[in-house]
Amino acid sequence: MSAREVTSDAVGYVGPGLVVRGRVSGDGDLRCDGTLEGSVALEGALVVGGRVVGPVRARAVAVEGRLEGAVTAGELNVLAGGRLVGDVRATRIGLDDGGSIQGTVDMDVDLPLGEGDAR
Amino acid sequence: MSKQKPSLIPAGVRVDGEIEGEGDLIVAGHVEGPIRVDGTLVIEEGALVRGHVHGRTVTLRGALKGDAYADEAIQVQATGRLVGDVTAPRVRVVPGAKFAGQVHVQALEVAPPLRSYDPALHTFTGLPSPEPISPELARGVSIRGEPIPVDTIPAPAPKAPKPASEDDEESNATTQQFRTAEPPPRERPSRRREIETAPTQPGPAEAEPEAVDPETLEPALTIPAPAPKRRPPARMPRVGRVRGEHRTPRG
Repeated sequence: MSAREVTSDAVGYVGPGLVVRGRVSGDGDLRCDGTLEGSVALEGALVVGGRVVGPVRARAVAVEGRLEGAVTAGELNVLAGGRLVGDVRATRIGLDDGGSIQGTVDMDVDLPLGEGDAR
Repeated sequence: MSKQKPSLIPAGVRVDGEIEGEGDLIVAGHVEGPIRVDGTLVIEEGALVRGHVHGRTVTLRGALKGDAYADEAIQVQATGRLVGDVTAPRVRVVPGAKFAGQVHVQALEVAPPLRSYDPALHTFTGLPSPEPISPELARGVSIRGEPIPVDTIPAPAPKAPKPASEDDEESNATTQQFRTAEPPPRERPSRRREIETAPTQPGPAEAEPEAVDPETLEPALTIPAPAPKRRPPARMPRVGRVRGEHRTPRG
């Protein structure tokens, strides 16, 4: 499943007006249309529709908004309008026309992730 | 609920830190830290929140270790478990809920201080279980970490230490688990003194947690309506009236 296709029943959601500061971890998927300041470690996918500041580690990451921080992911997609500022370690990377990545991309790395990560 | 899609912390997701902002929030996972939203806050069955919470309305179906504040109403449903105090103009505790703490049926005059978030405790690796709230932070620091002038700290903040006998006789395993993580008792006036200085309570027999059997914590606990002179301001919509069938029998 790519980060574009988050279909889990219980997708976590941070609404546009909400701010979360701290560490978010778990095995679910999360969509952030608000602000998340801190670290994110998810077994599932993270969709950044709003703003995320901090290191992110997830199985899949999709950036539609703005993400500032290092990303470690099985798959990263920066969609049109998305902006990523930070270094990337991922096995698959997609950058749409209109999206941007500012930072170092490293794809040749053994990921500190669990199952569901190898492709 | 507002028309905006509510935020959700789903089961299986844990947040160590603070959550605040606009809109409604549903917590089905685990939150270690304070929560403040201007909409409805729902703590679902199976969820755990350790930290003070504040919402326009608060509905508790899961477990909360911390104080609950609401601008309008607090409901502790039958599956709810609460170790902490509740403060709201309307409070409803459904029989079956487990509750240990004090009840303040009164309007919030200022936003209550919540536990401050200390990023040093929540690093990306090697996260220990967060330490209990320090009394200083719990009383004197806002959710943003800004000091609050002492004179703006709301009246409901003082609480009496829980009676030792209540802890000793506590038989509910889950609640006992919460108790073990209890932060050190805050320095605050005794319960007796609070009764004397809080004439808003219609009667100690009704308003005090003694109405709950300390061994079973099976509360036929009902919160009486506030005294007329302490009714919330007219601008406060009235929500969640205390139901008559849950009212503690008089006499």
